[in-house]
Amino acid sequence: MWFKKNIPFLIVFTWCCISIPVSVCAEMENRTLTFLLTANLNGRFLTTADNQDEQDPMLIIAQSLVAERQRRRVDLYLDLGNAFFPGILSRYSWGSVMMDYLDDFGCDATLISSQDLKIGISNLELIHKGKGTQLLSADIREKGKPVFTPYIIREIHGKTFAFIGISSKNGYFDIAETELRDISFIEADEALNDILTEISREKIDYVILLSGLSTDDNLTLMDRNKSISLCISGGDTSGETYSVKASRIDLDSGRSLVTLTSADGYYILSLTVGDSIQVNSLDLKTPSFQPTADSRYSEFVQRLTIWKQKFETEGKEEIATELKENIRLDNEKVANLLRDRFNAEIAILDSNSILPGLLSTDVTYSDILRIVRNEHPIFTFKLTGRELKQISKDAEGMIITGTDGVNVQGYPIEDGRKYLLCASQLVYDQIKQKFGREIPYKNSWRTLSDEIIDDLEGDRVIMANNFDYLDNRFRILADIRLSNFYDQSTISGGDNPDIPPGMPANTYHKWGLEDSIDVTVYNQHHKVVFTPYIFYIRQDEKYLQNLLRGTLFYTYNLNPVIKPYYKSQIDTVVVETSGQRPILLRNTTGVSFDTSHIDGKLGLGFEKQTQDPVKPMSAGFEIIFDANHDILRYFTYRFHLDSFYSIRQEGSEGHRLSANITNAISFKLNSFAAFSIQHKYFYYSSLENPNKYQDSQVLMSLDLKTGFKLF
Amino acid sequence: MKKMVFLITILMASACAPYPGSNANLPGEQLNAENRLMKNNLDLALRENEVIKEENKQYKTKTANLNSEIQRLNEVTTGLKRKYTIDMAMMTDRYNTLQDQYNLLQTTSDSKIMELAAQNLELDRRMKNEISSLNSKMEIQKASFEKARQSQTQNFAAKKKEFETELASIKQTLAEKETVIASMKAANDQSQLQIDKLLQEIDSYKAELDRMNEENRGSMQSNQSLPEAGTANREEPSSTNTTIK
Repeated sequence: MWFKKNIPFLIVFTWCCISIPVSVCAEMENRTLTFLLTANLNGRFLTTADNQDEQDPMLIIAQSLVAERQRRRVDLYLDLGNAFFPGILSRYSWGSVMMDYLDDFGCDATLISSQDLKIGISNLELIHKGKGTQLLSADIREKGKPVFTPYIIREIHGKTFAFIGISSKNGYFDIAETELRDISFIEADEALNDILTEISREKIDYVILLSGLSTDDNLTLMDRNKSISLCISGGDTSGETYSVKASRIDLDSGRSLVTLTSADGYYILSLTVGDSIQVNSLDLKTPSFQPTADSRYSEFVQRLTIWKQKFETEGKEEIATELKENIRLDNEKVANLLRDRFNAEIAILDSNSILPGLLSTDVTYSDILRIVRNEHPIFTFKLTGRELKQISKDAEGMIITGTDGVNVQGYPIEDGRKYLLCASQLVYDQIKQKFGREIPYKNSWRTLSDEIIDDLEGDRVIMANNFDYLDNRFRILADIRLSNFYDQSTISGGDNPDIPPGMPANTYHKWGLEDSIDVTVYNQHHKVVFTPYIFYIRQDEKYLQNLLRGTLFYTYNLNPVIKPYYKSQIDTVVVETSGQRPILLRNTTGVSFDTSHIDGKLGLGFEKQTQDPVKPMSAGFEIIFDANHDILRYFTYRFHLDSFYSIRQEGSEGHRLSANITNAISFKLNSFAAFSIQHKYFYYSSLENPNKYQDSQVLMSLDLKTGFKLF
Repeated sequence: MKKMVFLITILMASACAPYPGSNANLPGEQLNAENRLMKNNLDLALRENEVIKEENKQYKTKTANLNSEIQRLNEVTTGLKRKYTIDMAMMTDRYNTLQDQYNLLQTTSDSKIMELAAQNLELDRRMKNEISSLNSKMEIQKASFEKARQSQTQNFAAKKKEFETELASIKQTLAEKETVIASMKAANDQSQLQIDKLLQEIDSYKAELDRMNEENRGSMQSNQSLPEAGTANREEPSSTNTTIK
């Protein structure tokens, strides 16, 4: 009876039971998802609260995001990085205001990128506390463990999505964090494998990679990891492949790589989710002023206004007042300031360190914050001339002062000599990465802002328009060359032993040294080299060589190649022989020709032996010639000629020629030790005397050679 | 000499000392690093704290304003409640009065309704009787009307036949009259033809007379131009003019 009565109801109920789930399942099978995406927001808040709803670019984006959520269903909002830096207000708040922004406007996660690292890892951790927005990065590790959330899992329309963040290695960690916390990047491949293994234990339907890597690297990762359903890149990557920007690349496996190539707005990514993820569209939306009554927006604006008021109050703090004139500040000027303050020969800054601008006669804290965009500590370190030349050649993105890549302080860069550099940690890290070696450094623990503020409060060097005075600073070099040998032969065997052919008959003790130190004091115009030189070989009580020489050499740096010089040289003996200590004085002046491998000197002057015995002064000219050539990496050939020809004069001995010729080949054992074979030839001739004095000598020795700058 | 060698050794040793060295592990550097981190963290914490304090202050002010507003509204509510209570008492009294009035009216209306219902029943009964009597009257009238109609139909048929006969005789008379009219019309046409012919003749005579008058006028003009014949010619026109008349 009941059945008959309810037949129509039962028919309708059965139809509903069958048809509704089928239609729902069909819809679920191919569901359209909508993601909101942003990248490179850079914390670009205005610093003033006046009319901010209509003028602040970040608020205009926020209004558009709110309106977008009201217009359509948004399944997820992701930020692809570089959200926190270099906006002034964001920097002032150490990223706090930007974190509030992302959190208040419903951002699910933001990828940590190179600019974000400038906020500092510990500060990022601090501002993240209590926020819903996740900071994503799987490849930033502290002692092997991820510093930030490596991935997030979201269930959307009954499907489970894993979003994995891979940061680019374009960023650099603050040295303090590197030293204290051992923070470093690991390879993206390794990080991804770790995470994929970890999430394989959970039931994940789709893996979406959020990446700051280059397009090529992303494609490689997708190729190696087939479980990645979709890659969304942005932040540090511009989407360039083969010099062309591509916002979307579809792989033959049906997977896609989408890249946010523009920072002027936000993107709407539409996806169809079925067996795989299919990208329907990626649309760039231009934000526009759209008044909103959204309560989250109002709350955020209230907090933002307080930040702006605080910044305005603190920013008004005066650093310098009543300067003589406005100062044009740029990277080059600040680099020169660093040279001045750190007494460095060269200063290097990355080109984004300073935002060029004009400082008024009253400088405030906000002016400095506006202009300075690099808060890394400043390092001083030394590089060889060869490395310096290489950096100068590949100086893209760097501002170098103190050298043009050929000369430093007016003198050609010497490949083997070390130069003192001053740079921000960022540049130091880049140089270290470039040369692939640990470069000893000294951390000043001071930033560009500290230096500029100190200077403005003190000497105000930064007001100068000409920094040539830096090249007038005197520097001191010391080059030490030590060449020593020791030979001890002890003969035993009674009073009259049989002596084998070629063996010494008597015990002897022979040692010798040829040492010199060049102490050079120079600036861009003047160079004075004082060289004490000793050549002393002794066998038992017999002096085979007994020369002690002191040379004072002055050069006026008129031209890189041709320079006038003055030389004063005193020769004497190390140990008096027969109670005598002869002293020979030679003073010359002339022209020096310097090239990269060959130096020549031609001068006029006089020689005079001043004691034991005193001899008349004789005028003459000298020719000095030096050549150095690296035959192979470790072999160096050296030629040296030092000659003086004295002209016959009243009371003198007549024409005389003395020449000292050295040919040497050195094999470098390391940076300061070498094994060398040298042939020394000394020729002395008085043209009136047919008997010429000649001394030919072959020496094999272990040489120690080093050079350093005292300051 | 030994002093010199010693000096050189010292210089050599100092020369070989690396500059300035990565001193990351030195305690001083550790302290510097920690100092830098703490300084940055502290800076952030202080600024954030300032902002939160300010925000808190604003919220406190807002809360105080809201509290005073609540107090004001409470006072208003109390006044309204008081007024409500008074109004309610008045309304209750009025309601009770109205209720009594209503009950009274209801009692009155009930008896009235019963009376009216009885009257209504009576009227219904009377109306039914009236209708049945009228129906019977209508039946009778209908029968009489039918009878009258039939007799009139028969009269009408006889009249119709009579008029048809009369119409046929009239038609015949009319045909005869028309024949007469047609013969008269033919005679008339004949007369008209004769009249037309006579008019034509009159017209031709008139034309002949005009032509002759014209010729006569030309002859008189030629006669006036001749002096000898002047007198004779002056008499002829008068005779001519008389003829024309």
